[in-house]
Amino acid sequence: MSIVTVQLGQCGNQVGHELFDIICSDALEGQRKLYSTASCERFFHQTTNGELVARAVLIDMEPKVINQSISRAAKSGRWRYGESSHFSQKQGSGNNWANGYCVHGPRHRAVVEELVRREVERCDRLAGLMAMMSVAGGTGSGVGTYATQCLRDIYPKSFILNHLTWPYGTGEVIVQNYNSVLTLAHLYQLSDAILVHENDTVHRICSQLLNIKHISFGDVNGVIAHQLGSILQPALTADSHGVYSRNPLGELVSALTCHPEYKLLSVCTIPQMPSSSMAYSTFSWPSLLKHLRQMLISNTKMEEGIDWQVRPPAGSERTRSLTGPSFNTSLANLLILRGKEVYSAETGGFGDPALYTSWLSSEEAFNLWKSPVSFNKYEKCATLVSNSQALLRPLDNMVGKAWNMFASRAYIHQYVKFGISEEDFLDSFTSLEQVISSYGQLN
Amino acid sequence: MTQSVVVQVGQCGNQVGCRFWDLALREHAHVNKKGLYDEALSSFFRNVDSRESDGGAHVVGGRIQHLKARAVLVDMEEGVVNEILQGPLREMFDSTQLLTDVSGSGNNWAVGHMTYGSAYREQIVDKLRKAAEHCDCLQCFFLIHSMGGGTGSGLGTRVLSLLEEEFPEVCRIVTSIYPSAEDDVITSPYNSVLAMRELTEHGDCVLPVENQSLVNIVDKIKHMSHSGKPGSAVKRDSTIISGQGGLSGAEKPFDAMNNIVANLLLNITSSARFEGSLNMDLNEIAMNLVPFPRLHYLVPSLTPLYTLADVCVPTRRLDQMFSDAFSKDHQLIQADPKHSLYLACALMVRGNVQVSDLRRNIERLKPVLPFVSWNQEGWKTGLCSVPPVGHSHALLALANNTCVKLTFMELRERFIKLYRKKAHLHHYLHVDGMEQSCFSEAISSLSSLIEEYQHLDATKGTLMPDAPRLRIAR
Amino acid sequence: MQRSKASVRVEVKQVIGALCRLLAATGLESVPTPENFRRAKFGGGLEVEDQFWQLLADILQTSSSVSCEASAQLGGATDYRKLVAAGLWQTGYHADWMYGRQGGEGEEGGEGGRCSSRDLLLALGWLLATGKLEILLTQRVQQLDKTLLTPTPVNPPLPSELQLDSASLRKLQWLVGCLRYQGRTLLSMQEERTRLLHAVVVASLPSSVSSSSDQSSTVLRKDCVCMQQLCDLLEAYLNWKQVEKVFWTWMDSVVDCHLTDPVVKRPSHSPNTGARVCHHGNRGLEKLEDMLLRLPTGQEAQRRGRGDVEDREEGRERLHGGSDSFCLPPPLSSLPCLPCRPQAYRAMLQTEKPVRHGRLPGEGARGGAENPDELPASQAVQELLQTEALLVERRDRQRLANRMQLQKMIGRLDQLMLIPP
Repeated sequence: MSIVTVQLGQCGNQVGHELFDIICSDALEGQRKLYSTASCERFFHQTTNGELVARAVLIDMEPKVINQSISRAAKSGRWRYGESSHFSQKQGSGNNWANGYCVHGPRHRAVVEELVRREVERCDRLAGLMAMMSVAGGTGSGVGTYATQCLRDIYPKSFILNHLTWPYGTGEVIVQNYNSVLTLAHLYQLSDAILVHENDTVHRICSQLLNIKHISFGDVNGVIAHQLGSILQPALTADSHGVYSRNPLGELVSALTCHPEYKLLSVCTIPQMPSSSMAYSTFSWPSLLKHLRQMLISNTKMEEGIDWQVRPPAGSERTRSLTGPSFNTSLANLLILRGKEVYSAETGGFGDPALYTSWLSSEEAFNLWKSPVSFNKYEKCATLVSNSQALLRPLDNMVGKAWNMFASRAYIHQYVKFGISEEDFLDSFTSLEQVISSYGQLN
Repeated sequence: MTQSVVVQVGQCGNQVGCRFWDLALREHAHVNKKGLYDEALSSFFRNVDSRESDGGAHVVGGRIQHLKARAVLVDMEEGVVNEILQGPLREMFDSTQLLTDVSGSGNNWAVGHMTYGSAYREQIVDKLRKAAEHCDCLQCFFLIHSMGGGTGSGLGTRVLSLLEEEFPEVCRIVTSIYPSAEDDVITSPYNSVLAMRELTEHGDCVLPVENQSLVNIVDKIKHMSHSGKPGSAVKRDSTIISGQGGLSGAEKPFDAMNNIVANLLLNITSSARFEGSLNMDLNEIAMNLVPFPRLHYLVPSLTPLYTLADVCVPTRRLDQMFSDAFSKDHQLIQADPKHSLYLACALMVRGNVQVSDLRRNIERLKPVLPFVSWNQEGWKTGLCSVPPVGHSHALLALANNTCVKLTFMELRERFIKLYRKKAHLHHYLHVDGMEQSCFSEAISSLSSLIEEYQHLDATKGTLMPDAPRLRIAR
Repeated sequence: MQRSKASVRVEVKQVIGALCRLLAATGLESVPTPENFRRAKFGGGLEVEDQFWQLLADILQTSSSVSCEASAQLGGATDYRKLVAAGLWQTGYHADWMYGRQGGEGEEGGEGGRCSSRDLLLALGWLLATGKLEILLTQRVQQLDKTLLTPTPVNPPLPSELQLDSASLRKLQWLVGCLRYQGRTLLSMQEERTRLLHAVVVASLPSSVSSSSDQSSTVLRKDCVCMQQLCDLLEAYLNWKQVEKVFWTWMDSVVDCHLTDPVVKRPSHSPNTGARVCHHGNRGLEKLEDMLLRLPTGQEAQRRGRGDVEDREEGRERLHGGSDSFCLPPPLSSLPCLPCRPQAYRAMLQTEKPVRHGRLPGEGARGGAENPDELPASQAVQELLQTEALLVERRDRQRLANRMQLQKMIGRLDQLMLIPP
């Protein structure tokens, strides 16, 4: 089963490149034939002379980043992008979602669809589509939303996962909250699951866990790619009978996002450390999983600064809804363990019904994937993909800021110019308030 | 890769433009060592093989044959343009890009706007179209003009409305040089206010630059380099006013000031020309910095204005650069943005600066800078990896700040002083197409603009409650 | 009588043959001959033993009961046996020989380490009864049929009467979403098959012979071979299912053989050494619980023999605390005479000592039961012993009934059949 990735905009193309790079080097590491075969089949196709070519379509409205990604991939010597599987224009969308969604998207619809169709036809079996983009800019968010809509039209029965990079709270793009609101509201209707990385969180991981002094976008993208890779690389699922799962996206969404009102997924991975100290570190599954569980319930996205005071509410507290605001209630969790002695790992702590909302039993809410193969040079690696309240606060902030701006009608004329009306804004706000309210009701 | 066309109108516009082309060439020569016609060069230059009769542009990637500026030069007298044509930059322009007259506009906006505007309309449009045809993907027009004179303000703003008419999709960024209070042109308040109305209505972004600020900066730099304080010796050749390394050898009187404006244009286009980890396209400027269509005046500030010769601690110097961008004496207009209200702010960084440096400085500066309540995080950033010649890094800040209203209010005062006496009015009114209502409309346009800024300014410091959110019915 | 006995033997041989063919079809490389099965029952020689070691090892490995990495590290035959013992232990099997001197080199001499080919045969019976055969089958089917996906099973435990409160509504929406995803998965499988079928049809049309390239035809040929193998596999399974009953009856006789063998005695050792050999994953636990759940349905004639084996092994398993948890399924506990423990229990150490100091019967290592959720080991053992006694009794009754029924059935047939003792 193969996944076709669609990289959109500057961010999508940078993160996408990092992802393929990590997946490729991880797949080719050591003698792990089954794993390597499964991984390569999933993300690459092989040319007659054995070259690995990413199953990816690169789309941007300006050429610089795409050219960079293509040449960097070719330079790696391990893999490359397809010669003609990219499309770029000369002029970006200028941070304007409306420009991407109403102008660039429709204008280039045929080309984009054709590129994706070619890549899909190259797959023996299509496991699904993954669109990668940021929500802040104009191309990733606007064209990305439009492209997702096209994909949904053409492949109504395929699994579609959107990977979104949320911008820093401040300083990237001033209209980022408008663009984010419009993107999320539209994608919520189109996508099967929306996997989110927040730049602020990843930035903190870079500085506090990886000890990087001068953090570049490359560092940030590297962390995102590592976490994504640890989700997407082959793993054994409960029902896969010792064979690497053939339906990665299908099983991901079936485990986490069956409910149409809850589609936001957050990720945390443990351990993460500078590669230089990896040689001197050993990990035990009990301690990794203990930390990861506390990260989940206290909503901490990294090992540093976990609040150990947060505890799941006892049964009696639950009914009286005395749950402290700091406790992060989950709807569903997927735990992915990779590496040594993975079969001995005790994961009962994640099946605790107290972690979950009352209306879903923990058997349905908790899923576990394992792979005895170590990932990206980490001897052991645990990743938790969580459909929980973790993104509630950032989402609420984002909508709140956008709403404040909208109340003053600031910047609206820039969107009206391209055909997005105030009504469209209101619709988007309404549907996101619905999402916020749904997540708020989990506990 | 996109291209931009520079339209320089009037004496001032052409002088500034001339400095821009000189410094742009110097910058590209510094980066482009192979002598190939690359994407970066193509954004402002055409590569022409003189042996070919049609003068067709050469494709990107080939050797540099003969660079032609993507520019249209307009002046209603011959002096400045002739000077350019006899100077070292003469090779960069050919007659099809030039438009001159002999008699000048007599410091009269109406003559420039009405008389010449109508007479030369076809020719101007023709030259603009030619320049546009040479572009693969035309993104932006840069208009450079002054507000005080007749040609720059009158014909310049006429060109602006022609651009809007002919190329409605193409972004228009105007660099306007505002006269100082003691301007020797007596009618400059009339010209400026009449031009202001055009700028407010037809520009996408206007970068106001005050003559007085340029004078102050030049004075300060000269003072510092002569005083020779130990430990803070200024490297002469790397100051922002220096044109060293350019084609023009001898420096002319206004060159130092014009170099500052030329640097402003170089920095604003750097991210569109060179690579960087966070691109900032030209069309993103208006998108991020203009919340309401009329409020598109962006106060520029440049740092560093000079480079110290000694080696300081790099991060400290970097942080100092960010602080300077918000200080009064680095603004290109006479205003103090820190004590007014920010609607939005862009930081366009060049050189070896990482996203973490940006974040650190934004976090540091945020608390002391007042932002409008609905845009508390109104920062837009760009990272371009190529620094300006002679610097390790540089920063251009563009602020949509209510402080700009002070400049406009002074202008209005000077205008009213003249207008009350009806001084020189007849020079304007006898020009065909010019009526008294033009004056009243211009001044009311300016007044309402000032009012809009004042209205926003009034919200400063008061805690605005968040707008009540939509509620979901259960 | 002699004549019929021979014919019966032939029949058992055929049944075992069906099993062997099925095992071979699932991709196992070395499957003993039916004749060797028979020899194993009566303690066949070293050669037979070796074959069964190999078979057990293959099954355990292929069904991922032991990891391939572990087996790759091991070289010699003794290591191999150790691995088999560990694997069996993990699936919940227990026998004396598994607790031979560690290192496994003492399987000949050591007190508990002796192991006959009959022991191995019993172990094989256990593995078959615990559903390893089905796992092998599923895996093989997945290998052969590339269009197959594993849809996540949806088993909605809906309350008997649905209320339309918001929680139930959300739950319902979740389930609908699950089904929708499953539908999509199935649909894509279907589409894929259709496409393949189409390709086959197109390729078999004479007109398009020239157009199809070599490459695609080899791919098609490969697909055809796979399909053929798949058909063979499923046919073998079908054949086996039809005669499985007889095999289990035969297996029953093997157990009888084993029990009457004077060598066998009740275990007199501690299981702790075994714990050191294996790393115990959840897989074993799941299987065990699964098994217990299936226990009461063992009354069906088809599962007769299997039930016996399970019962006994289960009993011992629990006695020795080899497993971390046990659970009495509701139907079983609903029997009036059985002690009822509705909850599942997980063995827990009071202190963080190495596993070998763990739970000994009656030792009470868990200390006092402070928590209603906890159960002292001694009490658990007591209850387990009771349960075992009950189950053994039930088993004997069941077995008798089985034989009677079989006898009756056989009586109706022309040929008389007697299962050799």
